Amino acid sequence: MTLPKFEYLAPTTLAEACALLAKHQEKARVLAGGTDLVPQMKKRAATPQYVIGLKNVSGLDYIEFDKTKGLRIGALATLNAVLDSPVVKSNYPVLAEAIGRMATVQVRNLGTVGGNLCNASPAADSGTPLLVLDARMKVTGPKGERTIPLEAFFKCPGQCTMEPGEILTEIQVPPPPPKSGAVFLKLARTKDGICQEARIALGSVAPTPMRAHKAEEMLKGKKLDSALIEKAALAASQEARPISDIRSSAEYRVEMVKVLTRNGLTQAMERAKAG
Amino acid sequence: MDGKTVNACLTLALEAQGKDIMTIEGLAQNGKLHPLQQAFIDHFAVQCGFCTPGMILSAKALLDKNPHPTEEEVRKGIAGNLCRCTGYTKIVEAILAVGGK
Ligand SMILES: Cc1cc2nc3c(=O)[nH]c(=O)nc-3n(C[C@H](O)[C@H](O)[C@H](O)COP(=O)(O)OP(=O)(O)OC[C@H]3O[C@@H](n4cnc5c(N)ncnc54)[C@H](O)[C@@H]3O)c2cc1C
Ligand code: FES
Repeated sequence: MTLPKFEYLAPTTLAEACALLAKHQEKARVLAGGTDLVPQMKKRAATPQYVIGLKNVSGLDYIEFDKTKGLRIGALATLNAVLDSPVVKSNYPVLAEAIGRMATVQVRNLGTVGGNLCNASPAADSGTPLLVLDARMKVTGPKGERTIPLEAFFKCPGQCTMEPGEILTEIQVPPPPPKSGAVFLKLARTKDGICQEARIALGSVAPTPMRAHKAEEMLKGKKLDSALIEKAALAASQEARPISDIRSSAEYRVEMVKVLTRNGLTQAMERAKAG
Repeated sequence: MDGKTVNACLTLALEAQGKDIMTIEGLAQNGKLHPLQQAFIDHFAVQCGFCTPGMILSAKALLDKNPHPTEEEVRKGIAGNLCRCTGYTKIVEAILAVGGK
């Protein structure tokens, strides 16, 4: 498969990239790792006239952690850079766990976490852990800078809520709450065996990665026993809005949300007790 | 590219400009095969050979980072490189043999 004809623009500063995007509007697409956009262009699912490559914009591939401020991931940090980062491994193991199960070494050397989120696939694998970790997206555009909670960043499959001309610059993750444990599905905070707060994120079972707020509410301030976990898992499965497609049926996905939420909550409880 | 494995089909030529590119052709030095190339021959890890460049360069990237990988680490390191012939076992054995040295 060949690429359609396009013009490649290579800005070296963020301001230049924003100006180019503002100038060419919907005729242009930003390219980070290209692991989503290049295949889309080959399939003619995307045919931008201008491709704005971000690779020459320096200083956007940082991964920085501060105990009080949390984690900041630059929009150009690759999936493998985040996966191999010692501060991510020790403070946000659930994020490393999820990225470690994504794609392949070659794809992770190119692809970015920012691209994974901007591509807004319902199955974006970094979406669920980052929803549970309450991440925020810092974007910059013609009207200046703003941050958007990740939950409000996803709009529908393939679309996020950035305005035309806006570029994602940073993913911000607050410090992990003390005594918390997360597995690649959920996060619970406990005190004396009482769940202070639970966060459950689901992927591939709705138009966007989503939080199961009703199920989370049921767990807040309660002691997590198997009966309550079972009830919350059922509630989460009722919140999911899956489709049937070539990969599986909607009925199967609903059932699996129940099973995985139950297993996830049980494992997260154990991790929270241990940590 | 710059010491990291990437898919050529996902990399724009424009974005490879100024980068250090290593392909299978550059691995042998002065007519002498790289230890991984020799191990692939010794362990019968090559049949049709279609997947071999990707397998060997993925293995090299893995061993550069982690010189003594476990079998699971080897399998994860070459994941995404599909082989229609060997069933992977011989390939994993060849890489483990170099990693064991
Ligand atoms: C073989 C293969 C396997 C894969 N497996 C998985 C998997 O297991 N799980 C998974 O979740 N994904 C998977 N993917 C998809 C893809 O690799 C990831 O979504 C990756 O994180 C995308 O990042 P990127 O930097 O390559 O994005 P790009 O392709 O560069 O960009 C994706 C989209 O986001 C936009 N964009 C990128 N950066 C910015 C920015 N800073 N500001 C504004 N817009 C931006 C682009 O315009 C484009 O629309 C796979 C892909 C391949 C080819
Ligand atoms: S040797 Fe034929 S595909 Fe691997």
